[in-house]
Parts: sequence; structure tokens; C-alpha cells
Amino acid sequence: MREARPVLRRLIQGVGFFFVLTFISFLIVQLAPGDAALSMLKVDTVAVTEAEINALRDQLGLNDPVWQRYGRFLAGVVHGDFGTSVMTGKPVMTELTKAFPSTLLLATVTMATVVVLTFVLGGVAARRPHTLADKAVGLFCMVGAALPTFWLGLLLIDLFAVRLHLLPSSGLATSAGLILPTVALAVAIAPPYIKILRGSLIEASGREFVRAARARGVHEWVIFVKHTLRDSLIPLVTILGVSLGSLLGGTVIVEITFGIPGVGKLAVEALARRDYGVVQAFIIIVGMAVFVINMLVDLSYRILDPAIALKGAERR
Amino acid sequence: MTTRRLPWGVFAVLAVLGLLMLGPVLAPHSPEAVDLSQRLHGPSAQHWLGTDNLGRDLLSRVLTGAQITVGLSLLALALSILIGVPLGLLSGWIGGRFDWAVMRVVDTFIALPDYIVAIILSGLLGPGFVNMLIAILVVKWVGYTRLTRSLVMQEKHRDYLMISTLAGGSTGRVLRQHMVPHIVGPTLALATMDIGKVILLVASLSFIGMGVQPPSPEWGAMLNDGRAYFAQAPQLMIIPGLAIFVVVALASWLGDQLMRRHTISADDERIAHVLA
Amino acid sequence: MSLLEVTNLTVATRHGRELVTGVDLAVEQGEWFALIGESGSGKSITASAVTNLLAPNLVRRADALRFDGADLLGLPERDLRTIRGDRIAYVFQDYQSAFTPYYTIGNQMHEMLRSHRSMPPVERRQRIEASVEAIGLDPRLIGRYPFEVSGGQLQRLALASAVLLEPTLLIADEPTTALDSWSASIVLDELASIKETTGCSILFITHDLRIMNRYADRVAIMQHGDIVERGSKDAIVLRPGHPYTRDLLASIPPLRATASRLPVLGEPARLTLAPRERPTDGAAAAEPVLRAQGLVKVYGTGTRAVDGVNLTLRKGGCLGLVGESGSGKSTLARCLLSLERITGGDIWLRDQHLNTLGGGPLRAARQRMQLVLQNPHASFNERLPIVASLLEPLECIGRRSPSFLDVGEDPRTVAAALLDLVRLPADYLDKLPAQLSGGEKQRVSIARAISTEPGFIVLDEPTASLDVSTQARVLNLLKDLQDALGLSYLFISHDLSSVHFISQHLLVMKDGRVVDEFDRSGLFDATRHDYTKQLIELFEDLPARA
Repeated sequence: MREARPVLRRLIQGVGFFFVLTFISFLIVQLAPGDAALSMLKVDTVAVTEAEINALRDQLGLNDPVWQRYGRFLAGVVHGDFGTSVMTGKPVMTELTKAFPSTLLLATVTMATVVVLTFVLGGVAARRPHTLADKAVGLFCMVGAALPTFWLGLLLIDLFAVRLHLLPSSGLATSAGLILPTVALAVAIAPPYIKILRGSLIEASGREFVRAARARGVHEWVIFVKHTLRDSLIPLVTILGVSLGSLLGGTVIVEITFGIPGVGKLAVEALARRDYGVVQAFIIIVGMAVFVINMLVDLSYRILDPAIALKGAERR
Repeated sequence: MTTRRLPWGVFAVLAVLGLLMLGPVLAPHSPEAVDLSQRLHGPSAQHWLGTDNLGRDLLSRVLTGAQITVGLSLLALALSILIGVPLGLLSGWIGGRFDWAVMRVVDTFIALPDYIVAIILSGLLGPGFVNMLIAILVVKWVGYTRLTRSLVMQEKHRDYLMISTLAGGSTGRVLRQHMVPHIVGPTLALATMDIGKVILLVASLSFIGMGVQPPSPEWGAMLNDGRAYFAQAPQLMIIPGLAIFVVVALASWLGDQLMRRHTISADDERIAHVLA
Repeated sequence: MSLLEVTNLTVATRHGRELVTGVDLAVEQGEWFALIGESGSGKSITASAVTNLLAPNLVRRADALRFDGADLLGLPERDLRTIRGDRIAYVFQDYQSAFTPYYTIGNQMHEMLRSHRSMPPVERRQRIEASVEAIGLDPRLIGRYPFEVSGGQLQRLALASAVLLEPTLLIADEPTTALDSWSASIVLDELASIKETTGCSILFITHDLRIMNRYADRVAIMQHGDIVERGSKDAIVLRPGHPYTRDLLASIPPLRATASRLPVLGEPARLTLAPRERPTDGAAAAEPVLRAQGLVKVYGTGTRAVDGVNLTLRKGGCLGLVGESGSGKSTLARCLLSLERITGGDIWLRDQHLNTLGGGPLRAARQRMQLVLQNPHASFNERLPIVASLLEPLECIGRRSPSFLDVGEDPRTVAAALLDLVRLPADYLDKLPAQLSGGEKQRVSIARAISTEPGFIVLDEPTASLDVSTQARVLNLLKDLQDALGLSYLFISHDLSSVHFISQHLLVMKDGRVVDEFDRSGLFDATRHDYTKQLIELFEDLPARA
């Protein structure tokens, strides 16, 4: 019961968030400048009359009252129906499912790289603070965080694809095509993680309970793995949840820079073409994905820190 | 500690940022003067950094662009603070239902990834300086509300306020004398940290064609322009990117220094979502 | 040969600042050796330096550091590890950090045994349970997480784990300082019985001379990183040689003497103000400034924090309130100051029915009360200079200067005069709170409290976070100010001797109720409540100096 309650509360929150999200995405498109009917007709460069526009508006249901349109929209969303893409004429869902694997692949491989980078560099820097190795890691973090992702991407393409012909410049046709986007993205995302792990490792190693374990004669490596590292994971998990936005945002930029046919590229193209169905689906799917991951992060606190699980205390 | 002296580097960075605001004055040429006879030239005595595909002077464009990229970022941050801080102050101090309502709004905004929201908003609103400002404002105000609120909540129950309550000081007096000094430093530190983030956001948006549009010499837009000419005129790619990199690095360094003075660490939950 | 021999130990920061300067120390087999000192004296660092448990920014140097014939100085870290926990065990002040919060206590005791001996888990388990039982606790407690057991139990479990391997030397670093006095006495008795049964030596680090007097065989007094005096306990208590030792002994308010000032070194009473007329001991005739009847405070959870308290504070008098942490004494204080809404009962400030007031009249009434809090660091906005905090109450009530000062209306002059009353120099006005010591901040707090000439001042554990010698000086100052200005105090503390020293009338509080009430002179009456008698035992006087 004690275990189930927070999960249940989160699920209820999730349903609420879903309504907020669908309503926002519905509303944004309603209020946005530009007319879907107009832009559909404008595809042919022939002049259109007012009557033609109105006929299409009726046909698309754009003249119905707001709540009716929202209800219709919501019903569609629940059934996974976001309408038809203006760009391609195919169902939005089909377009998204086609684009989704590339984005997922890029995001997963990048996150794995970031985790490895974090533990290796963060660990090295915390081991001996203020030494050359620590300062080198610090410099990497500063440079990595300040480099515009797309610029780094372009430079990498120029060097490795155009000049050296070592790696493909765009697309994910081969697995080698994943290397440059992953590097560009990981370099931008890893610095805050590295800095935080370094800081929390140093802080944890100074904790009174670490000294108490040392005074009991526990082996140094046991102290490091079991006590120090464990204590450092909580701040890391905190930032994992909140930094999801930069991972997703970075993915969009990288997909465009490297011409990867992922969800981000699809969304940006849809925005440029005012293909609202795709934009709405994108908002809802990304929003819910972020929510689910944050929920998992929240629940993982309960595993990481028994005090939260037992006292029912909330981290805020 | 307020008595500790700022390192000289802080003043140097501030000087550089200030100088950038004077960019257009320093530019040797008009940033938009097209001269097709001078297309894609390398650096020369006349054009120190060379010219672009329309023969425009690259140095002048980078200097003018500073005012757009950096200026837009600073303006957006100032507005975010203007909205976020008072709201957080009131939310934390008043508490109760008002706080609850504000926090639900804040939670919703935080749940939406900032880059994605900014991309969608500027995509929907269309390109342009003001629309970009709105897009950044929407994603940034929330961090300042949250920081201010948690600073107030943290100070609200401190012992010294009991003394103030006993002395019968008015709410205005307590907020002014006790809360504001605790908010100013951390907020400025966070804002400085944020300058770099916002510049990257502005440049990224412009690069993917969602932000400020050509021919405006915004740095990200210049990079998008120059991309096609990478082989012939690499300076078109290198210079604006380097400009972004240097300004962002300087601002982050300055922010780091200020954060350390206010003993805010980057894993502080109050600001983690702003920095990550 | 001594069990532990330390010769010329120096501990310095990496920047070369010496925190311990050439300490010599010898702990004999089977003795209780007390290392006495105030905060910053280097006593804890000395204890940590023995097995090199120092913070990474500290380095130790010594001519010799021998334990049971072995040289600890040249020993590599991996060999030192085998000694820590096995031959030399530690108990620290911070019991909450005695175990890592992410694992059960049993898990960490197993971990300790595994680190030193290879034995089957069943045997480990038996050993752990036996050790926990020996300390008088339920062995099932080891299945809990550290935050699931009470402070006193946690410290006893830490003690149980420290003696798991029957060490020859137990280093106890202020093990009872963070505990309430009841839990503390249990832990101390356990320590004594462990010493009795295992014959181990105890190196006991403390600032508390009463503990030293009760348990120690031999004593060393530390000040500014060096040992200033050493000897047998009796010699130190009865024939102290060093002025600092004498000062420490004089700092403890004795229950049996009736001195009006503590005979510590330092500033004499030099108040430039003319002493006012002041009622003498037990003067029931003086008019009451504060009266409470049947006061009840129930929290939302149903806890009765204050449960039917009656009290009367008379003008120019001092009412003492003694109680352990959690007895409800601080809640009572906040209720009296109307900083918290009471659940039942009545409070009168002079003839004003305080708990019926609201809005403006309540604000006006509050301005006639003042408060000095326990934590001097939390009592100031750390971003404001001292002058701003000091003058805040005066500014709020819209006055320029208290009537007892005759220095004009210039705010800085008034502030300087107020600081002078608490014997701080005027150049403190522009300092930030962080630049002041705890004792100095507490003085500023007192100056701030008297500045508005309040009807009464609540002193809520004003000396609890101060060192004994600083505490004595603050107590003297409070007395001097009361004499000079005719102030009325409600003095709240867990320390019976301080309360007894300063008050004319005492209340003893336990679990929200007043269980005992008596005049200062009636402390040793046979009619005292059992709880009061227990307290008297805990705060028993040191033997009178020869």
C-alpha cells in the first residue's frame, strides 16, 4: 500500500498532465497565425477564392465551436489518430512511426555515451581534485558546454566526412553514421553531469558517515563503491530527470545538422510548412515521454534512498 | 560573502560583454552592404575577416550580430527576471493556495523541455526578433520563479525573522530588508549562467531557420547561410561559431564565479532544471 | 610502557596553519583518559590523528606515535586499516552519521566484521546480536535503517559496533554532546561498563567537566592546539595550576553556592548606568508583567506540546524554565510571545489579555516583548551588517534611542552605545555576522533585545551553543544588565545549573507539563519532584577547589 500510493498519485497526475498537454497543443494550433486551409490550397500556386477556402474550412471542421473541435481532437489522440499530414498526405502516425526509430537510436546511444563519459571523467576529476587531470576535465566541461552543438557538428562533418572521408556526413544508413551525431550531442550534454558527479563525489567523500566507515576499518574500495558512490547518485539522478529537455532539444538540432530523418527533423519541417497534425502529435508524444521519464526518476529515488521510501518523504 | 573581492577576470568579462554591445559602432563597414564583386573573399586589409557570398564584410556582420544575439539574450533574461522573481517572492511569502496555484503552473512549464517549447513557439509565431523574445521568455521565467520561491521559503522560517515579527516590522519592510538581499545575488548568478544558455538557444533556433532570419546578421543565421560555402570560404563557418563559443564560455565562467560566491552548486535542485 | 604514546604531534592545514602544536599524550592500559578542551582547541583533531582519520586537507607530523608497541606513524594505509575498528575503535559525536543512511545497521556491522575477520555469516550474526544485547538493546534493531532509531539508541548501536571486535583502545569523541542528558548518562554508563568488562582503555574527548569529574582517571586540558595542563583527575579538579584550567572550573555555575557572579577572568562589571531599584529574591510583591493560566498547545498531529502550564513572571525578576529537548519549553516560549496561536488557556501581558488580541493591538503588544534565541548564527540576517540588525527593533517601533541611554539620537551613536553595554567595541557595527564569534553574536542579540526597553525578554537557551567559558561571561553580563536596567527575564534552558544561577524562581518542565516549581533556595528541599532530583544528580557540583 505504502509502495503503491505514490505510483497511483503519479498516474493520476499523468492523466491530468495529458489533458493539459492535449489542450495546449490544441489551443496553440488554434491561435497560431496562418490558416491550415489556406496553406493547403496554396500548395498549388493558382489563386483561390474566399468560397473555396470556406468550403475547405467546413470540410476540415474548422468552423465548428472550439469545444467540439477539442473533443474531436481528443478522441482522435486517444485512438492514436492525429489526422493526415499536409506535407505527405499520409497519416501523421505513419510519418511519426517511420521517424521514431532514428531518434530513439540517437538518443539511447548518446545517453549511454554520456553515462560512460560521466563516470570516467567525473571519477577521474574527483579522485584527485585540483590536479592536472581535474583541471583538464574542467576545461573539457567548459568547452563542451560552450560549443554550439550544430557548429561542432558542422566542424566534425567538415573534418571527418568532407576532408578525411572517414565517416558519412549525413543520415543513419550505416552505423558509422551514428558516430558524429553522437559525439556532437554527447559533448554538449555530458558537462553538467560530469561536474555534478565530481562535486557530489567530493562532497560524499567528506561526509561524516564515510569517516565512520573508515574508522570501522572497512576497505577503501568498499567505502568508495558502497558508501561514497551511492551517496553521489542521488544528485545525478535529479539532474537526469530535468536535463531530459536538453537531450531532446539537442536531438532536434543534431538531426537537422546531420540530416537524420528523425522525429525532431520531421517536427521542424512540419512547423515550417504549418503541418499542424504533425506538430500536435509531436508536442503530445514528447510531453508524455518526458513525464514518464520524470516519473521513473522520481520512483528511482525511492530505491536510491530508503529514507524516502520508508518515511514517505518527498524530494522537492 | 559580500566583502570578498571579485576576481579581476569578472570585470574583464563584463568589459568584453559591454564592448560587444557597441558592436555596430565598431563595425568598419555596413553589415548589409552587398558587393557582388567581392564575393567569398578571404581576409584582406579591407575586409579583415573576409566577405560572404554576397560580398558583405564578415567582421562588420559579426560585430553587428553581437548586438542581436547577445542583446536579445540579455533582454529576454531581464524580462524573465522581471516576471519570475516577483512571482516567486509572492508565491513563497504568501504561501497557501496562491502558492499552490503558481506552483502547478510552474510544474507544467518545467515539465516541457525548453528547447522543444522554444522551437515550437518560434515555429508557430513565425520568425522575428519579438517572437523569439516571447519564445525565450516562456521557457525562462519559470526558473527564476522557482529559485526565488525556494530562497524565500528557506529564509522564511529563519530565527531572525521571529525577531522582526516581534518588533512588528511591516511585510514590505521584511521583504525589502531581509528577503531581497538573499534573492539578488543568487538570481544574478543564475542569470549570468543563463546568458550562455540563452545565446546557444537563440543561435540554435536561428540556425534551424526558426529564429531571426537572414539578412539579419544573427550569428546562428550567419552559420546557416555560410554552411553552403564551407569549402570555398571556411571563415564564414568558423568566425560566427567562434564568436558564439567565446561569448558563451565567458558568460559561463563569470556565472560559475558568481555561483561560487553565493555557494550555489550546480546540483542544487532549485536550479538544476535551469542549467541542465 | 603506555598503550598509546603520542610525542610532539603537530597537525597543520596544507597551507601551513597549525591546529595542533606539539602535543604529548600517553594513555595507559585500562584507564579512562579525558582530553578536555573548548571548540577549536584541537582535541578532536588530535583524536583523529592517532589513526590518521584526518580530513584530506590536514597533515600530521609527530616524533612518535606508538600503539601497543607498534609504530603507527610509518604504517601504510592498508595496515592502518586493519588496526582501525579492530584494535582502536571510535565513537563520534554525530550519531546520525555513525552509519550510512542507505543501509541497515546490521548490514554495516556485518561489513565491519567482514573487513577484519573471515567467519561464516551465522557466526557474524551471533556476534553482532550478542554485542547489541550486551549494550542493553533489542537485537532486532539491527534490521533497521539508521533514521528509524532514536538518537540515544543510535549512539548505543554505534558503541555496540565499536566494541564488536573488543578493541584495546576506544576513542570516544564527544559521544554524548549531541544527546539529551538522559540518553547521555545511559551511553556514559555503558562506556564505563565496557571498560570494566573488557579492560580496554578509553580516550575520552569532551568539553564537559562534569563528565570528566565523574569518570576520568587522568586528564589533559587543551587550549589553542596545545596541552596546557595534565594530571590525575583529582589533582586537576582540586588543585588546578594553569589559569585556563581554573577559568574553566570557575565557569560552571555551582548549585550549592549563591555567588551573584561567576568568578571567571575577564571584564569586571562596569556598567555606566545607575543601578535601578530591583526587588530582591522571592519578592512576591513585585507586580507581574506576564501571566499565563492553563496554557495548552496542541499540534495538528495531536501532540500536546504544552499541557496546562501556569506561570507568573514578575517585574525585575527572572523566571527559570528547565527541561529536556522536546519537553515543550520552546513551544511555550513562542506561545507566550504570541508567535504561535495557543489552543487553550489565557496569557496576560500586564493587564492586557494577549490571546484575544489581533491585528494592530497584537503588533503593539508584541513590540513590548523581546527574544534571544539559542542559535546565534540563525539570529541574524547574514547579509546585513551588525548595525542594521541591531537597530531593527528600534526602527520598527519608531524610536530613536532607549531612555536609559543618554547619547542623543544619531542611530550610529545609539548603536555604538548599545554595543558598549554588552562590551563590544563600536567597530563591530559595520561587520557582518559571519565575522563575529558565537558569543559575540549572542551579546549583540542581547543588546538588540534590550534596545526597546521591553516588558520582558525571553531567553531561549541563550548559552546552549556557547563554550563553557563564553557561557559564564554571557550569564554574568545578563545579570549585570538586569541589575542596571531592572529587566525581567524568562530564562529557558536544559542546563539546571545555569537556570538556577540566574533565576529567582524555577519551573521544571517535562512532556509539556510543569512537574515542579520552587524558589531558588528550595532546590535541595526533600519535597522536590523525582525528576528534579535526577536533574540535580546530573548537574552535581564539582568538588570544591582546595
